[in-house]
Amino acid sequence: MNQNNQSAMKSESAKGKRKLRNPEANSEETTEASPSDYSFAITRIAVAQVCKSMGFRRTEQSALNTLTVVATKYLETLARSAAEFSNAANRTQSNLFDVTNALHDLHAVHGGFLGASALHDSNCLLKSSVLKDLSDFVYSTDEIPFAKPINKEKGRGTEATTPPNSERRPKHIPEWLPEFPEMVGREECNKRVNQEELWENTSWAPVCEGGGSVGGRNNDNGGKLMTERARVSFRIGGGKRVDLNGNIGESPDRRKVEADDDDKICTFLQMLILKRKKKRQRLQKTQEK
Amino acid sequence: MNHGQQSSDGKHDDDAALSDFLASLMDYTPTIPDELVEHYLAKSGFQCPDVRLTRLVAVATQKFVAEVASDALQHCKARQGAVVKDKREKQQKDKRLILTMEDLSKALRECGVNVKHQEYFADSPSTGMDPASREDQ
Repeated sequence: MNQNNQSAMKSESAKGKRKLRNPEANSEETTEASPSDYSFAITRIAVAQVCKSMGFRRTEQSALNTLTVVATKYLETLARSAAEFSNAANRTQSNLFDVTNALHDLHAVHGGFLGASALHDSNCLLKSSVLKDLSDFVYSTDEIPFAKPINKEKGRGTEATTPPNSERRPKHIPEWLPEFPEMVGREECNKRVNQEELWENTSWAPVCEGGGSVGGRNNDNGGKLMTERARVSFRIGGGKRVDLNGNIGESPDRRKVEADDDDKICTFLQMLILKRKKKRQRLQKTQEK
Repeated sequence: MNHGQQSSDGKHDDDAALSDFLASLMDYTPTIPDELVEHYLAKSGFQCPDVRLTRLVAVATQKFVAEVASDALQHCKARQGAVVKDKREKQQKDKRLILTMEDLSKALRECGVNVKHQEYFADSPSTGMDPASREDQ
Protein backbone atom coordinates (compact mmCIF):
# COMPACT_ATOMS: atom_id res chain seq x y z
CA MET A 1 0.00 0.00 0.00
CA ASN A 2 2.75 2.33 0.98
CA GLN A 3 4.56 1.72 -2.22
CA ASN A 4 1.37 2.23 -4.13
CA ASN A 5 0.74 5.45 -2.31
CA GLN A 6 4.25 6.60 -2.93
CA SER A 7 4.01 5.79 -6.60
CA ALA A 8 0.66 7.55 -6.70
CA MET A 9 2.25 10.54 -5.01
CA LYS A 10 5.09 10.50 -7.47
CA SER A 11 2.75 10.36 -10.40
CA GLU A 12 0.71 13.18 -8.93
CA SER A 13 3.79 15.25 -8.37
CA ALA A 14 4.90 14.47 -11.90
CA LYS A 15 1.51 15.57 -13.15
CA GLY A 16 1.81 18.69 -11.08
CA LYS A 17 5.16 19.42 -12.64
CA ARG A 18 3.74 18.85 -16.07
CA LYS A 19 0.88 21.14 -15.28
CA LEU A 20 3.34 23.72 -14.11
CA ARG A 21 5.51 23.32 -17.16
CA ASN A 22 2.76 23.23 -19.70
CA PRO A 23 1.44 26.76 -19.23
CA GLU A 24 4.96 28.13 -19.59
CA ALA A 25 5.45 26.19 -22.80
CA ASN A 26 2.10 27.39 -24.08
CA SER A 27 2.86 30.98 -23.25
CA GLU A 28 6.20 30.69 -25.05
CA GLU A 29 4.47 29.23 -28.06
CA THR A 30 1.85 31.93 -28.15
CA THR A 31 4.35 34.73 -27.79
CA GLU A 32 7.19 33.48 -29.95
CA ALA A 33 5.68 31.03 -32.43
CA SER A 34 2.80 33.24 -33.46
CA PRO A 35 1.17 32.52 -36.82
CA SER A 36 3.20 35.09 -38.71
CA ASP A 37 6.44 34.08 -37.12
CA TYR A 38 8.76 35.42 -39.75
CA SER A 39 7.22 38.87 -39.97
CA PHE A 40 7.09 39.01 -36.19
CA ALA A 41 10.81 38.27 -35.99
CA ILE A 42 11.58 41.02 -38.50
CA THR A 43 9.40 43.52 -36.67
CA ARG A 44 11.11 42.58 -33.44
CA ILE A 45 14.50 43.39 -34.91
CA ALA A 46 13.25 46.75 -36.17
CA VAL A 47 11.65 47.61 -32.82
CA ALA A 48 14.84 46.60 -31.04
CA GLN A 49 16.80 48.91 -33.31
CA VAL A 50 14.48 51.81 -32.52
CA CYS A 51 14.76 51.10 -28.79
CA LYS A 52 18.53 51.02 -29.09
CA SER A 53 18.54 54.33 -30.90
CA MET A 54 16.48 55.83 -28.08
CA GLY A 55 19.17 54.86 -25.58
CA PHE A 56 18.29 51.45 -24.22
CA ARG A 57 21.16 49.01 -23.90
CA ARG A 58 19.30 45.88 -22.95
CA THR A 59 15.80 44.61 -22.88
CA GLU A 60 13.63 41.98 -21.33
CA GLN A 61 12.37 39.44 -23.83
CA SER A 62 8.77 39.85 -22.76
CA ALA A 63 8.96 43.64 -22.91
CA LEU A 64 10.40 43.60 -26.43
CA ASN A 65 7.77 41.08 -27.53
CA THR A 66 5.01 43.21 -26.07
CA LEU A 67 6.26 46.36 -27.72
CA THR A 68 6.56 44.50 -31.02
CA VAL A 69 3.00 43.25 -30.78
CA VAL A 70 1.74 46.74 -29.95
CA ALA A 71 3.68 48.25 -32.86
CA THR A 72 2.25 45.64 -35.21
CA LYS A 73 -1.25 46.36 -33.95
CA TYR A 74 -0.65 50.08 -34.46
CA LEU A 75 0.47 49.52 -38.05
CA GLU A 76 -2.42 47.22 -38.84
CA THR A 77 -4.97 49.52 -37.24
CA LEU A 78 -3.60 52.43 -39.23
CA ALA A 79 -3.73 50.48 -42.46
CA ARG A 80 -7.21 49.12 -41.81
CA SER A 81 -8.54 52.54 -40.94
CA ALA A 82 -7.03 54.08 -44.06
CA ALA A 83 -8.49 51.28 -46.18
CA GLU A 84 -11.89 51.88 -44.62
CA PHE A 85 -11.68 55.58 -45.43
CA SER A 86 -10.82 54.84 -49.04
CA ASN A 87 -13.61 52.28 -49.29
CA ALA A 88 -16.08 54.79 -47.89
CA ALA A 89 -15.07 57.14 -50.69
CA ASN A 90 -15.75 54.44 -53.30
CA ARG A 91 -12.13 53.76 -53.97
CA THR A 92 -10.06 50.64 -53.67
CA GLN A 93 -6.69 52.35 -53.67
CA SER A 94 -5.84 54.52 -50.69
CA ASN A 95 -4.22 57.89 -50.97
CA LEU A 96 -2.55 60.44 -48.74
CA PHE A 97 -5.83 61.80 -47.40
CA ASP A 98 -6.96 58.38 -46.22
CA VAL A 99 -3.71 57.84 -44.39
CA THR A 100 -3.96 61.32 -42.88
CA ASN A 101 -7.49 60.67 -41.71
CA ALA A 102 -6.42 57.38 -40.19
CA LEU A 103 -3.51 59.07 -38.43
CA HIS A 104 -5.89 61.71 -37.07
CA ASP A 105 -8.18 59.04 -35.69
CA LEU A 106 -5.35 57.19 -34.03
CA HIS A 107 -3.82 60.31 -32.52
CA ALA A 108 -7.18 61.52 -31.32
CA VAL A 109 -7.37 58.34 -29.25
CA HIS A 110 -3.91 58.91 -27.84
CA GLY A 111 -4.76 62.27 -26.39
CA GLY A 112 -5.29 64.68 -29.22
CA PHE A 113 -3.09 66.84 -31.40
CA LEU A 114 -2.69 70.45 -32.40
CA GLY A 115 -5.26 71.73 -34.88
CA ALA A 116 -7.76 68.97 -34.23
CA SER A 117 -10.53 71.41 -33.43
CA ALA A 118 -10.14 73.36 -36.67
CA LEU A 119 -9.75 70.23 -38.71
CA HIS A 120 -13.26 70.06 -40.12
CA ASP A 121 -13.83 73.81 -40.36
CA SER A 122 -11.16 74.31 -42.95
CA ASN A 123 -11.15 71.95 -45.86
CA CYS A 124 -7.44 71.39 -45.66
CA LEU A 125 -6.83 68.11 -43.91
CA LEU A 126 -3.12 68.43 -44.17
CA LYS A 127 -2.85 71.46 -41.93
CA SER A 128 -2.97 69.49 -38.71
CA SER A 129 0.10 68.96 -36.61
CA VAL A 130 0.25 65.21 -37.14
CA LEU A 131 1.95 65.37 -40.51
CA LYS A 132 4.14 68.22 -39.32
CA ASP A 133 5.20 66.15 -36.35
CA LEU A 134 6.00 63.30 -38.70
CA SER A 135 8.07 65.52 -40.96
CA ASP A 136 9.86 66.94 -37.93
CA PHE A 137 10.53 63.40 -36.81
CA VAL A 138 11.94 62.52 -40.22
CA TYR A 139 14.16 65.59 -40.30
CA SER A 140 15.34 65.28 -36.71
CA THR A 141 16.12 61.59 -36.43
CA ASP A 142 18.90 59.89 -38.27
CA GLU A 143 18.21 57.11 -40.65
CA ILE A 144 18.66 53.69 -39.11
CA PRO A 145 18.50 51.22 -41.94
CA PHE A 146 17.26 47.74 -41.12
CA ALA A 147 20.10 45.65 -39.77
CA LYS A 148 19.65 42.38 -41.58
CA PRO A 149 18.94 41.38 -45.16
CA ILE A 150 15.43 40.09 -45.68
CA ASN A 151 15.27 36.68 -47.22
CA LYS A 152 12.19 36.75 -49.38
CA GLU A 153 12.23 33.16 -50.50
CA LYS A 154 12.39 31.81 -47.00
CA GLY A 155 9.57 33.94 -45.71
CA ARG A 156 7.21 33.79 -48.62
CA GLY A 157 7.59 30.22 -49.68
CA THR A 158 4.16 30.05 -51.26
CA GLU A 159 4.39 33.42 -52.95
CA ALA A 160 7.82 32.83 -54.39
CA THR A 161 6.48 30.21 -56.78
CA THR A 162 3.77 32.45 -58.22
CA PRO A 163 5.82 35.06 -60.17
CA PRO A 164 7.15 32.66 -62.85
CA ASN A 165 3.60 31.37 -63.38
CA SER A 166 2.24 34.88 -63.71
CA GLU A 167 4.99 35.60 -66.22
CA ARG A 168 3.96 32.62 -68.28
CA ARG A 169 0.22 32.96 -68.16
CA PRO A 170 -1.64 35.69 -70.02
CA LYS A 171 -2.73 38.79 -68.18
CA HIS A 172 -6.47 38.25 -68.16
CA ILE A 173 -6.17 35.20 -65.90
CA PRO A 174 -6.22 36.24 -62.24
CA GLU A 175 -3.24 35.39 -60.07
CA TRP A 176 -5.09 33.27 -57.54
CA LEU A 177 -6.02 30.63 -60.06
CA PRO A 178 -3.89 27.50 -59.96
CA GLU A 179 -1.27 26.87 -62.52
CA PHE A 180 -2.18 25.43 -65.88
CA PRO A 181 -0.88 22.04 -66.83
CA GLU A 182 2.32 22.46 -68.73
CA MET A 183 1.91 24.17 -72.07
CA VAL A 184 5.38 23.43 -73.34
CA GLY A 185 4.67 20.13 -75.05
CA ARG A 186 1.63 21.42 -76.90
CA GLU A 187 3.48 24.48 -78.15
CA GLU A 188 6.27 22.33 -79.47
CA CYS A 189 3.73 20.11 -81.17
CA ASN A 190 2.09 23.08 -82.83
CA LYS A 191 5.36 24.44 -83.96
CA ARG A 192 6.41 21.11 -85.32
CA VAL A 193 3.19 20.75 -87.26
CA ASN A 194 3.49 24.26 -88.57
CA GLN A 195 7.02 23.69 -89.58
CA GLU A 196 6.15 20.58 -91.43
CA GLU A 197 3.59 22.50 -93.38
CA LEU A 198 6.15 25.12 -94.08
CA TRP A 199 8.57 22.43 -94.98
CA GLU A 200 6.25 21.06 -97.61
CA ASN A 201 4.67 24.25 -98.84
CA THR A 202 7.62 26.50 -99.02
CA SER A 203 10.05 25.84 -101.78
CA TRP A 204 13.27 26.00 -99.92
CA ALA A 205 14.19 22.50 -100.99
CA PRO A 206 15.69 23.72 -104.29
CA VAL A 207 17.49 26.40 -102.30
CA CYS A 208 19.02 23.69 -100.22
CA GLU A 209 20.10 21.83 -103.32
CA GLY A 210 22.83 24.27 -104.11
CA GLY A 211 24.74 23.54 -100.94
CA GLY A 212 22.38 23.88 -98.04
CA SER A 213 24.28 23.35 -94.86
CA VAL A 214 22.83 23.28 -91.40
CA GLY A 215 23.62 26.94 -90.96
CA GLY A 216 21.64 27.79 -94.06
CA ARG A 217 18.63 25.99 -92.66
CA ASN A 218 18.88 27.83 -89.42
CA ASN A 219 18.90 31.12 -91.19
CA ASP A 220 15.86 30.18 -93.22
CA ASN A 221 13.87 29.24 -90.12
CA GLY A 222 14.84 32.32 -88.24
CA GLY A 223 17.28 30.46 -86.06
CA LYS A 224 14.63 28.74 -83.96
CA LEU A 225 14.05 25.19 -83.00
CA MET A 226 16.71 23.51 -85.13
CA THR A 227 18.51 22.33 -82.05
CA GLU A 228 15.35 21.05 -80.42
CA ARG A 229 13.95 19.23 -83.41
CA ALA A 230 14.57 15.55 -83.48
CA ARG A 231 13.04 15.00 -86.86
CA VAL A 232 15.25 15.54 -89.84
CA SER A 233 14.33 15.16 -93.45
CA PHE A 234 16.59 15.19 -96.41
CA ARG A 235 16.57 14.09 -99.98
CA ILE A 236 18.34 11.46 -101.82
CA GLY A 237 19.01 11.77 -105.43
CA GLY A 238 17.69 8.47 -106.78
CA GLY A 239 19.81 6.46 -104.41
CA LYS A 240 22.93 7.50 -106.26
CA ARG A 241 24.92 10.17 -104.45
CA VAL A 242 24.36 11.90 -101.17
CA ASP A 243 26.93 13.93 -99.32
CA LEU A 244 26.66 14.83 -95.71
CA ASN A 245 26.48 18.45 -96.74
CA GLY A 246 23.31 17.81 -98.63
CA ASN A 247 24.83 17.88 -102.08
CA ILE A 248 22.66 15.63 -104.08
CA GLY A 249 23.55 13.94 -107.26
CA GLU A 250 21.42 15.04 -110.18
CA SER A 251 18.74 12.59 -111.04
CA PRO A 252 15.16 12.95 -112.26
CA ASP A 253 13.46 10.95 -109.55
CA ARG A 254 14.07 12.11 -106.02
CA ARG A 255 12.88 10.54 -102.94
CA LYS A 256 12.18 12.42 -99.79
CA VAL A 257 12.97 10.50 -96.73
CA GLU A 258 12.25 11.45 -93.21
CA ALA A 259 13.97 9.79 -90.36
CA ASP A 260 12.60 10.35 -86.93
CA ASP A 261 15.59 9.36 -84.91
CA ASP A 262 19.26 9.89 -85.14
CA ASP A 263 19.77 6.16 -85.10
CA LYS A 264 17.73 5.80 -88.22
CA ILE A 265 19.76 8.51 -89.88
CA CYS A 266 22.93 6.77 -88.89
CA THR A 267 21.80 3.44 -90.26
CA PHE A 268 20.63 5.18 -93.38
CA LEU A 269 23.93 6.91 -93.85
CA GLN A 270 25.71 3.66 -93.28
CA MET A 271 23.55 2.06 -95.95
CA LEU A 272 24.37 4.91 -98.30
CA ILE A 273 28.06 4.59 -97.63
CA LEU A 274 27.87 0.88 -98.31
CA LYS A 275 26.01 1.54 -101.55
CA ARG A 276 28.61 4.11 -102.58
CA LYS A 277 31.41 1.66 -101.88
CA LYS A 278 29.69 -0.96 -104.02
CA LYS A 279 29.25 1.61 -106.79
CA ARG A 280 32.92 2.51 -106.67
CA GLN A 281 33.84 -1.14 -106.80
CA ARG A 282 31.60 -1.58 -109.82
CA LEU A 283 33.10 1.49 -111.49
CA GLN A 284 36.61 0.23 -110.78
CA LYS A 285 35.67 -3.15 -112.21
CA THR A 286 34.25 -1.56 -115.34
CA GLN A 287 37.34 0.62 -115.69
CA GLU A 288 39.57 -2.42 -115.25
CA LYS A 289 37.60 -4.23 -117.89
CA MET B 1 -8.70 90.47 -49.49
CA ASN B 2 -5.53 90.80 -47.53
CA HIS B 3 -6.56 88.07 -45.15
CA GLY B 4 -7.50 85.82 -48.05
CA GLN B 5 -4.13 86.30 -49.65
CA GLN B 6 -2.40 85.49 -46.43
CA SER B 7 -4.36 82.31 -45.99
CA SER B 8 -3.68 81.29 -49.58
CA ASP B 9 0.00 81.97 -49.01
CA GLY B 10 -0.18 79.86 -45.91
CA LYS B 11 -1.81 77.12 -47.90
CA HIS B 12 0.93 77.36 -50.50
CA ASP B 13 3.53 77.12 -47.78
CA ASP B 14 1.78 74.14 -46.29
CA ASP B 15 1.53 72.47 -49.66
CA ALA B 16 5.17 73.16 -50.41
CA ALA B 17 6.23 71.81 -47.03
CA LEU B 18 4.05 68.77 -47.48
CA SER B 19 5.35 68.03 -50.96
CA ASP B 20 8.88 68.51 -49.68
CA PHE B 21 8.17 66.08 -46.89
CA LEU B 22 6.72 63.53 -49.27
CA ALA B 23 9.66 63.96 -51.62
CA SER B 24 12.08 63.49 -48.75
CA LEU B 25 10.36 60.21 -47.94
CA MET B 26 11.67 58.85 -51.22
CA ASP B 27 15.21 59.14 -49.93
CA TYR B 28 14.51 58.31 -46.31
CA THR B 29 14.70 54.66 -45.37
CA PRO B 30 12.69 53.94 -42.23
CA THR B 31 13.93 51.35 -39.78
CA ILE B 32 10.89 49.22 -40.50
CA PRO B 33 11.65 47.80 -43.94
CA ASP B 34 9.32 48.43 -46.85
CA GLU B 35 8.65 44.76 -47.47
CA LEU B 36 7.41 44.26 -43.93
CA VAL B 37 5.13 47.29 -44.08
CA GLU B 38 3.75 46.18 -47.43
CA HIS B 39 3.07 42.75 -45.96
CA TYR B 40 1.05 44.18 -43.10
CA LEU B 41 -0.68 46.70 -45.36
CA ALA B 42 -1.75 44.01 -47.77
CA LYS B 43 -2.86 41.88 -44.85
CA SER B 44 -5.24 44.58 -43.66
CA GLY B 45 -6.62 45.51 -47.06
CA PHE B 46 -4.62 48.60 -47.87
CA GLN B 47 -3.82 48.98 -51.55
CA CYS B 48 -1.52 51.66 -52.82
CA PRO B 49 1.23 51.50 -55.41
CA ASP B 50 2.94 54.61 -54.01
CA VAL B 51 6.13 53.89 -52.09
CA ARG B 52 5.88 57.21 -50.29
CA LEU B 53 2.67 56.22 -48.56
CA THR B 54 4.12 52.94 -47.34
CA ARG B 55 7.09 54.89 -46.05
CA LEU B 56 4.73 57.36 -44.41
CA VAL B 57 3.01 54.52 -42.58
CA ALA B 58 6.41 53.09 -41.66
CA VAL B 59 7.56 56.46 -40.34
CA ALA B 60 4.35 56.86 -38.33
CA THR B 61 4.85 53.44 -36.76
CA GLN B 62 8.50 54.16 -36.09
CA LYS B 63 7.58 57.44 -34.44
CA PHE B 64 5.03 55.67 -32.27
CA VAL B 65 7.57 53.07 -31.17
CA ALA B 66 10.17 55.75 -30.56
CA GLU B 67 7.75 57.76 -28.42
CA VAL B 68 6.82 54.72 -26.36
CA ALA B 69 10.47 53.78 -25.99
CA SER B 70 11.47 57.28 -24.90
CA ASP B 71 8.64 57.32 -22.38
CA ALA B 72 9.82 54.00 -21.03
CA LEU B 73 13.36 55.35 -20.93
CA GLN B 74 12.24 58.32 -18.85
CA HIS B 75 10.45 55.98 -16.46
CA CYS B 76 13.55 53.82 -16.25
CA LYS B 77 15.81 56.77 -15.52
CA ALA B 78 13.43 58.12 -12.91
CA ARG B 79 13.30 54.75 -11.18
CA GLN B 80 17.06 54.41 -11.22
CA GLY B 81 17.43 57.94 -9.92
CA ALA B 82 15.32 56.95 -6.94
CA VAL B 83 17.58 53.93 -6.41
CA VAL B 84 20.71 56.05 -6.61
CA LYS B 85 19.54 58.15 -3.71
CA ASP B 86 19.43 55.05 -1.58
CA LYS B 87 22.57 53.21 -2.55
CA ARG B 88 24.59 55.99 -4.14
CA GLU B 89 27.80 55.53 -6.06
CA LYS B 90 27.92 51.83 -6.61
CA GLN B 91 24.70 51.94 -8.54
CA GLN B 92 25.65 55.04 -10.43
CA LYS B 93 28.68 53.43 -12.01
CA ASP B 94 26.93 50.54 -13.67
CA LYS B 95 23.79 52.39 -14.42
CA ARG B 96 22.23 50.22 -17.03
CA LEU B 97 19.34 51.11 -19.22
CA ILE B 98 17.13 48.09 -19.59
CA LEU B 99 13.71 48.00 -21.17
CA THR B 100 11.55 46.28 -18.57
CA MET B 101 7.92 45.35 -18.55
CA GLU B 102 7.34 47.68 -15.65
CA ASP B 103 8.47 50.79 -17.53
CA LEU B 104 6.93 49.65 -20.77
CA SER B 105 3.51 49.08 -19.24
CA LYS B 106 3.64 52.57 -17.70
CA ALA B 107 4.61 54.07 -21.05
CA LEU B 108 1.96 52.12 -22.92
CA ARG B 109 -0.73 53.09 -20.45
CA GLU B 110 -0.33 56.68 -21.63
CA CYS B 111 -1.15 55.51 -25.16
CA GLY B 112 -4.25 53.75 -23.98
CA VAL B 113 -2.79 50.26 -24.01
CA ASN B 114 -3.25 48.32 -20.82
CA VAL B 115 -0.54 45.73 -20.45
CA LYS B 116 -0.97 43.18 -17.75
CA HIS B 117 1.92 40.99 -16.85
CA GLN B 118 2.82 38.70 -14.04
CA GLU B 119 4.52 40.81 -11.48
CA TYR B 120 6.75 38.30 -9.85
CA PHE B 121 8.60 35.21 -10.98
CA ALA B 122 10.23 33.05 -8.36
CA ASP B 123 12.06 30.62 -10.58
CA SER B 124 15.54 31.85 -9.64
CA PRO B 125 16.94 33.57 -6.55
CA SER B 126 17.90 36.74 -8.40
CA THR B 127 14.47 37.27 -9.89
CA GLY B 128 13.02 39.46 -7.24
CA MET B 129 15.92 41.89 -7.23
CA ASP B 130 16.33 45.04 -9.18
CA PRO B 131 17.47 44.40 -12.77
CA ALA B 132 20.32 46.86 -12.38
CA SER B 133 21.76 45.04 -9.39
CA ARG B 134 21.06 41.60 -10.81
CA GLU B 135 24.12 41.67 -13.04
CA ASP B 136 26.50 42.00 -10.11
CA GLN B 137 25.77 38.61 -8.66
